[in-house]
Amino acid sequence: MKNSELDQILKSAPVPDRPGAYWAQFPQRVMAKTNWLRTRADAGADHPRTEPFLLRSRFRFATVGLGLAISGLLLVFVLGSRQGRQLSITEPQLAAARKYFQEIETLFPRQVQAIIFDQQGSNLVLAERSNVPSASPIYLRICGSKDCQSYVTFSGQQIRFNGETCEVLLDQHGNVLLVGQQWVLSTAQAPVNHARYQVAARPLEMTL
Amino acid sequence: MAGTKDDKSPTTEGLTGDPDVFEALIRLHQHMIHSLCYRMTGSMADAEDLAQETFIQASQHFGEFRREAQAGSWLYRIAVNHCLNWHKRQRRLRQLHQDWAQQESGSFDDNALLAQQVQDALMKLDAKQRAAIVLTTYDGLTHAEAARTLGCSETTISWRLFVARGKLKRLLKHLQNTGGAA
Repeated sequence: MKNSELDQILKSAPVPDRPGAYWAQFPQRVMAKTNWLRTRADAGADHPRTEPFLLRSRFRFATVGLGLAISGLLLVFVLGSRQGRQLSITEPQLAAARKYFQEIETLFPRQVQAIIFDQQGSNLVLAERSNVPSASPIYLRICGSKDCQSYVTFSGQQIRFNGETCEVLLDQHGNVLLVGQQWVLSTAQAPVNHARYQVAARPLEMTL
Repeated sequence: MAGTKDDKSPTTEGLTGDPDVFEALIRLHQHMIHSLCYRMTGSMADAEDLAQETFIQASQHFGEFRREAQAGSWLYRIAVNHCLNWHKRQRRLRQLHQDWAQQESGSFDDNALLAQQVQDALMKLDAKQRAAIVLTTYDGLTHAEAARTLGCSETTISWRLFVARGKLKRLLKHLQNTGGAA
């Protein structure tokens, strides 16, 4: 076989094509990841999380940092987490969460399944496609024996805390139910105290 | 070829911190980088990850970019290095992928089967040999340009190409006289 014949064979094998939407979204994903990394670096958090649930890269996961403004927002949550044993959801926290959510939702419309805030920073859990049902976002705080996490999520979505998965549900009265594998918590009389967890939640939109 | 389309590309501006311009840079070169990564990995998913890592690293190394250089060539070098490093990590996984691909190849149509056979053959090459083939045959770099990109001598490139072509001719011999059609 001549080199020219080999080249012809090699070039006859195209690279598989991708849909146009992929090319349209790829730069945005890169920029979002870049911004997030920059934000993390600015905040001095140079150890990326390795929790598999959060760090499914590719389509399922993206995390967006929004610069110094978000660093300020994160500070609110961190401070709130340190005071989490009291589990009072303050108006500044709700306002910060609402602003953060609105900006993320603008970038990834109907893809946001949850936003998680903890001492390490923020993480996004995104659906692969824009098919997350429209619903009022819920601001949720959970404290265990050691630390606290805050979430912006929706009724019907699943979240993880302390290695446990639970489903978030919103009843017709606006109360939030957390359904774990062996327990159910309701915020009908928030804050809820549980043997292992303290939970407080409020629909985010109700504070608008 | 890497770097030939960006004479008017937003090179230095994008690399000095303007997010909009850097995003434009991504749009300009994303196809080239994805193609390179796919040729080097044989995996769409890995190509996506590597392409993303390439642009992220580029964004983090503004200062190392020489203004007189072309952004496309610079990105290309980053991508090649990422792919070569990826190969070291993924050698064993890739073997599993090849085995799976061979098992599944019966469900492909003719064109897809041909493409898979060629990609499988490429994946049987040493990573540096494969890089030499991808850079010169697919992306049209000269031996000198490929040598600069891979950080080796032209003689090394020529030798890698010689060995790689020999292997590919053996692996793809059954496709000879078919005009590239399986």
